[in-house]
Amino acid sequence: MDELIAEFLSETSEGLQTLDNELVEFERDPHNENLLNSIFRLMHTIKGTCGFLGLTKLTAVAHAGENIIDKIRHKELSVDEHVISVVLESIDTIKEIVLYISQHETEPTTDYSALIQKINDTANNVSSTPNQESTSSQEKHEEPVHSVEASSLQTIKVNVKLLENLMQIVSELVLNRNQMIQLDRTIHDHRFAPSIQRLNVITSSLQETVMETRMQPISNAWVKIPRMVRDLAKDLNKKIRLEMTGKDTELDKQLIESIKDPLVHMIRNSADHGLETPEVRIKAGKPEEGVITLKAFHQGGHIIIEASDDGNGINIGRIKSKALQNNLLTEEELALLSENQITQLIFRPGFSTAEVITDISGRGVGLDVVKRNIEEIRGTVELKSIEGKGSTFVIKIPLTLAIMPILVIESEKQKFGIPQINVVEMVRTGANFEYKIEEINENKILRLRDSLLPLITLSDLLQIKSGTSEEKNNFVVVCEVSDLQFGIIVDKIYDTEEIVLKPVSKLLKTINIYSGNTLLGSGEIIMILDPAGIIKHLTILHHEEDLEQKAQREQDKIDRENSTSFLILKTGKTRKAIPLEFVSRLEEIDVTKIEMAADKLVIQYRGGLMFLHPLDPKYKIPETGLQQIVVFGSNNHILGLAVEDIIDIIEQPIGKKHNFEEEEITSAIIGGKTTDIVNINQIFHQVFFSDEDSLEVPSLKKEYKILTVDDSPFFRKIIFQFLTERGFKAISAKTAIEAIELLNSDQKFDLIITDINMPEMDGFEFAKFCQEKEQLKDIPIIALTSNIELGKESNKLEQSGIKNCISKTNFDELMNAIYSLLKIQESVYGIR
Amino acid sequence: MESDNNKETSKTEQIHQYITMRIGHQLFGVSVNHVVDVQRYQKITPIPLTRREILGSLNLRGRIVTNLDIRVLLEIDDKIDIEKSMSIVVEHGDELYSLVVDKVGDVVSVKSQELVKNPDNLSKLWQEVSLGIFPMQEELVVILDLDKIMPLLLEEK
Repeated sequence: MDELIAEFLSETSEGLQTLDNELVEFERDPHNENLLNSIFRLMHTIKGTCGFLGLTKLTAVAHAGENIIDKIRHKELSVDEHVISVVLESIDTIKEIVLYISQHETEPTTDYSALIQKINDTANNVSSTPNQESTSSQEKHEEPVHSVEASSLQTIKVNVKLLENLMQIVSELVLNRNQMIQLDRTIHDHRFAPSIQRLNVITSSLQETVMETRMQPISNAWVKIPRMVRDLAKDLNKKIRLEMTGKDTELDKQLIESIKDPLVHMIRNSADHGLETPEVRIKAGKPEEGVITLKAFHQGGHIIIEASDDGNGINIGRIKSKALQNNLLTEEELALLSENQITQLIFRPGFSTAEVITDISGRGVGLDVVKRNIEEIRGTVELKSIEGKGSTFVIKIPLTLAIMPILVIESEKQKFGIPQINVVEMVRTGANFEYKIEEINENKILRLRDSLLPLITLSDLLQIKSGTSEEKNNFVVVCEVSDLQFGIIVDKIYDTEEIVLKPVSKLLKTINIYSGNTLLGSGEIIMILDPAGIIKHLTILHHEEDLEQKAQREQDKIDRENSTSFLILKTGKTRKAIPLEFVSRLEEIDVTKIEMAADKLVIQYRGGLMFLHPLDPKYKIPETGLQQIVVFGSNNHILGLAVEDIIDIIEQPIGKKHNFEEEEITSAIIGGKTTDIVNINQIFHQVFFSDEDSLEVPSLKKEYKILTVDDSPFFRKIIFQFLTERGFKAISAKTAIEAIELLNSDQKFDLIITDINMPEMDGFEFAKFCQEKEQLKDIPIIALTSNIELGKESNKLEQSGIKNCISKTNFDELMNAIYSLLKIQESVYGIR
Repeated sequence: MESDNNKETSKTEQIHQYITMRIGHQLFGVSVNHVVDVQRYQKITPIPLTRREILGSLNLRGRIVTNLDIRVLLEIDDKIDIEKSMSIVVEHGDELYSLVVDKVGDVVSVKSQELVKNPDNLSKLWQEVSLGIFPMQEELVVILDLDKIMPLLLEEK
């Protein structure tokens, strides 16, 4: 583009903006002569420059504008709303033409004569009492073409692109400096130290100074607002006054561009929804004129911008009902939120509580986009409101865009960064620590002081696996975004590092969990996570799950239904597995506490005695140190299996093909390797009941039908075998629901054996259900569990009508219970 | 300035230089004007949750460059030996991208008239991304049009 035209466009745009604002101010203060003169000067300048460049249409419109203002100046025309509107219209048209020129380098072909006529007509609407002063001021023609503003600062106009390049280079320098510092730490060559120190200081200085070059007063972002508010007030038939404080607060040019649109939107919102009409305001005892206040100030490395109105505030009730209406949240979820959190719901997509969607701001597309735009520059926005009094949008933006401190964490052997500004605290979790990760319906939760923190496992979110079995998920990084707190579960936490955030490649823009990437001092590349993006993946927002995800979940569920979890152990050279459902606990005991009782190894455990038994008979428990124990059983019979090493836990679907042998389940291919499956029932029997006569299959008088309910396919198979061997007819059900269906069918069952821990309907609930049904209440129920401490559940046990609760590993006790409940006498089955 | 060119070489005699590279069994060529750098294999940091074509990022003298696998797009199934691979760093739309190839060959000078139109039995995709075929003595080189292939590579499916 022609350089002259480019410069003209730039200057004219600036001038037009100022003109806009001054006119609006003038409307409020029509007696301000200085203002009027300034307005005239600007218009005159524009007209002059246009003419000089041969832009005839522009010149004609500008001339008409200048003329009308001149008349006002000479008091030949009185100022009223109409006049100001016409002048503003002329300015708008000029802007239009200027825009066209910037795009096409030539004037548009539109005919502006009608507008010019209108302007002139308005100008000639001479006021009925022309002022005497007009004649005298006509002689004064003092305006210079360029207003000389005495400015003590010397300034240079610099191309923005140039500054951006400078910024980029300085950022690279900072990264390089970081690398040097790292190297210095490892090399320890003291000859380098002073130079590196100096480099450090210089780089920091340079960084700060370059940042200052890009700092501009926030008034640059506020330029369009006075005019906009004026127009809004007119369109909405409301009286609105705009107040701005902290105009000189400085921030980075890039940020200014980014907040312009959000600000416009928030103010529109305030004007449209926040402020009431004059009538309503008077009735409420408020002044007729509503006030919108824009405030900006620095606070702790951030710039805070507040846009408030003294209108009617947010109606919490309306938001709640709207949220329910739009199916954003359920009643229960809403009940859990604080008032403040409910207020923030207006930032959700599709949310608009306007009764009538006004053209101005009501379509509900607005505030969520605002929030996103602000989050893109790593800021936060919050709405504070007092019903009846007003609302305030609070925007908080970090000043140092380029360099930010991040917390480096690791998950599945990959490192990532979390912006320090979002990190509240870090918590170590695990069996031996104060904090434990708990679950509600498969959603992980952490109890943190007074609240329950929703958690998300980073490796799950990122779908990464490292294939190692080192300790994982040991730490929770507690993060905060706006008002929401949540935790990210990671394997390791490293340092905090200051890094230069580089935006992600355009390729990755759609993945909302990264806010950028960077080079660490060591040269490694790490992705920087965006907590605001991560929050969207938390369970509470499940509603937005799409069909594909749902299908995947269903498939996973089916896979899980057919899977069994195995605890993999090592004894000598063999690999052994125990189905996890039998296991009560994993413990480490101090070997010095082991005692002998009737030539069996025991240890005092939780108020009772635990019998120890080495899994591999050849295994010798060491004399000192800790011994790993797998605990089974309950109540009177607690077994601790001493193992050499606990290797892993593997979940695997059980297939008919290769995994299990048909008759007896003694070994399988688990985790790709041949593994022996420990017959824990047999071991249990050996330890506790071996002095009693062993398994003789008794002959039974009749065919007793036993219904077994257990969600574990493995266990169903085991118990099926067990019962069948002893002459019972066993029918198994996968879930309590299935069991109920079977019970309602024609089959008559003599006994029910049910698991306690089952999804959907657990053992207690199932038993209670049976109790309440006439035809089922007489069928005795035995419950099986792997939980040692049954005492805790004794209430539930009583209420449910379950006769016996037995450990899954204790088949001897199970047998006794079955025989006793079925009233099978000793005489019936021979030796016992 | 345009007139000077016209004086010296007629349109059909314009010479272009292409850097050749092997992907799978096929030789390809990319205009040297687009190639910013050629690199040996270096450590790639994987980026979770990205599609197959995005192999990860690498550190190119302090700049983070996204590493792409064009085999997926070109439907070349031969597995790559990543440690012996090389990459061509190209610039597209203000960003740098690294394209992984098996081997980088020589630069060839091709006169416009030597470039042969794509044979009709090439797949639609290859027809679109190939500017033409340069028959060398032992092999055919498919000349890639980066302006066509990059957008395809970068688009979300």
